[in-house]
Amino acid sequence: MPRSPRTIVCSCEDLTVEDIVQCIDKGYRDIESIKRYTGFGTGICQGKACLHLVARVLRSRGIKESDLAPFTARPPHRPVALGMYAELSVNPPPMNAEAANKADARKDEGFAGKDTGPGEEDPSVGREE
Amino acid sequence: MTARRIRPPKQRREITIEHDGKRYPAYEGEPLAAALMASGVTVLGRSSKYHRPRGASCGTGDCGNCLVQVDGMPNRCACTTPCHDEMVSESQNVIGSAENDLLAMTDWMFPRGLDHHEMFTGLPLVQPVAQRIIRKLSGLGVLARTADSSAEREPRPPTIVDVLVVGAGASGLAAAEVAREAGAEVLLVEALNEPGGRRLGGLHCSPSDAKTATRKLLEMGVDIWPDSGAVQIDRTQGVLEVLILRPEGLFPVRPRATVLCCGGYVSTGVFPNNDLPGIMAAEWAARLITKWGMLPGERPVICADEPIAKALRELFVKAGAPPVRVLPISAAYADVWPGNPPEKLVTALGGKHVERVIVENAAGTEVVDCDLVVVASPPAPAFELALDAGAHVAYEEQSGGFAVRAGPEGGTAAENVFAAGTLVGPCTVEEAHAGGRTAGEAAATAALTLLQESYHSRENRDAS
Repeated sequence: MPRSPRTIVCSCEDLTVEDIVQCIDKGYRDIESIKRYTGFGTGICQGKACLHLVARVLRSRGIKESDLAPFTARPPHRPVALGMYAELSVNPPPMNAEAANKADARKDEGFAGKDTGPGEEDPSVGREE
Repeated sequence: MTARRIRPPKQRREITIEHDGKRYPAYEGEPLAAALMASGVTVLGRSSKYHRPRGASCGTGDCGNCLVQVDGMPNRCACTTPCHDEMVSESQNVIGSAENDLLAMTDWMFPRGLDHHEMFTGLPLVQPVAQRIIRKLSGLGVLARTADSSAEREPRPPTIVDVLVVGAGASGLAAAEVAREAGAEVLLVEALNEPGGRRLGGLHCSPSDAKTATRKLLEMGVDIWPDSGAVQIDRTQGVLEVLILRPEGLFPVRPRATVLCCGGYVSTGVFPNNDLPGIMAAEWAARLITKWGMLPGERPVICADEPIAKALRELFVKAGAPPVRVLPISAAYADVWPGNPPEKLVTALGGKHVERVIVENAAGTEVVDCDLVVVASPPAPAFELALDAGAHVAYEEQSGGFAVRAGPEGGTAAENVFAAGTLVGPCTVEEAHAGGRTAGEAAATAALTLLQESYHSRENRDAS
């Protein structure tokens, strides 16, 4: 099957430089609007492979650097099986109790940063010399 | 197509895998894409709209070009999925196979593009029929028929650490080392199956440097999780939680301080047919040769600037495949590169694999026969996690991406979240290392200060 010579900037949605230039011609001159119009950045890569290429196209077509901002990054940033979310604990132990227990354990072990005893009121602890 | 194995990977068992009903030899643990390429299978996926042939191009599981169905699981990246004996993979979203996909006629039928905003809409008879077909064709992969039993497992309590370092490239390795030296408990997570980042392919320094650095960290007591990509950062009631995706599930981590060293995303140029199989990122090509003994092509065209161009040239010469042409990186992005590049990669040509490129410069136009195009693009910062955490980003001209804004010590707008390496802007391995060290030290200080505070507040509470 013969192929068409396309310059792909968004490989998930098969969008080309031409598609983006058409967007600019229609008046969509920022990344967010172009995402909404073309669907770029909504494929499996979620913008990893395309955002910087679309930004380059916009820059090369005269859009100012200060007018460029990325679209909102929405987690998870890699595909995650829904079952994995289902197995996450709904009520994980509160941070404070957990942290406190752990801090106690480390205190008992005599652990401290930079050879300073835990609980000593030394403001220089752990700071750069 | 001349991709071939030049030597067996070190200490790997020979196994057999199945892809689209055919059996292929492979080495245990090597990326599925490497095993298939070694047997001449370079079309691994098809694009969603025009069903254009796609190969493994980024090598980091970021671009979604080489999606396959593996052991019933859809949407696995062939470039990051390790082979195991009797593994079964299949092409997805095709009629036929990725190699011969009937739906590829879309690419041929709509040379001027397919505008989904208007196409088939508003036509009383066509619309319902077209919609039914489109619905059937859309979506990625087919869900596994077997139920995932993982939901029955015990919930995992969050792992609490002083310093979490995300990404084990040059900056991450350095940050982890310094933070540990400062007395912090450190967890280092890496999305790929081994630490090293850019060092792995050996383009910037010897790949053994990464091994030495990793060994040292383990001796120092740094916890290292490979195959562990951070996928999400949440902050609830002031507590920052990072979700780490591992093959066995999601692991919540609550760090006192976080150093983001997530590196960046590569691309393979902006020119016609830039998506042809055989056009790939330099780091990936280097890793295939160095780590897996897999030469991705006999006649490579290299698009890279010095010093990477030199390293690539040497790597290919040593592998017995001297480059047929070396172009500056701007040539691969000529249409969108700032200024006026001296040379231009006009187009790549080929049916299902790159067969030649056309190069244009002041001297004229030249057709270069090749079977591989290797592109060393400036990586675009992987800023997503930093944005989750509350950091700010700004456009960065060299990569076309958005870099995290960080202070001299790597501090970001997000409390106790630091950033280093490619994430904050283009850098050499040495610069990334230095940046990682500074950020690691600052993170350790922040974490240990928080730890001290928690002792005090507890003591005060106990006393009262």
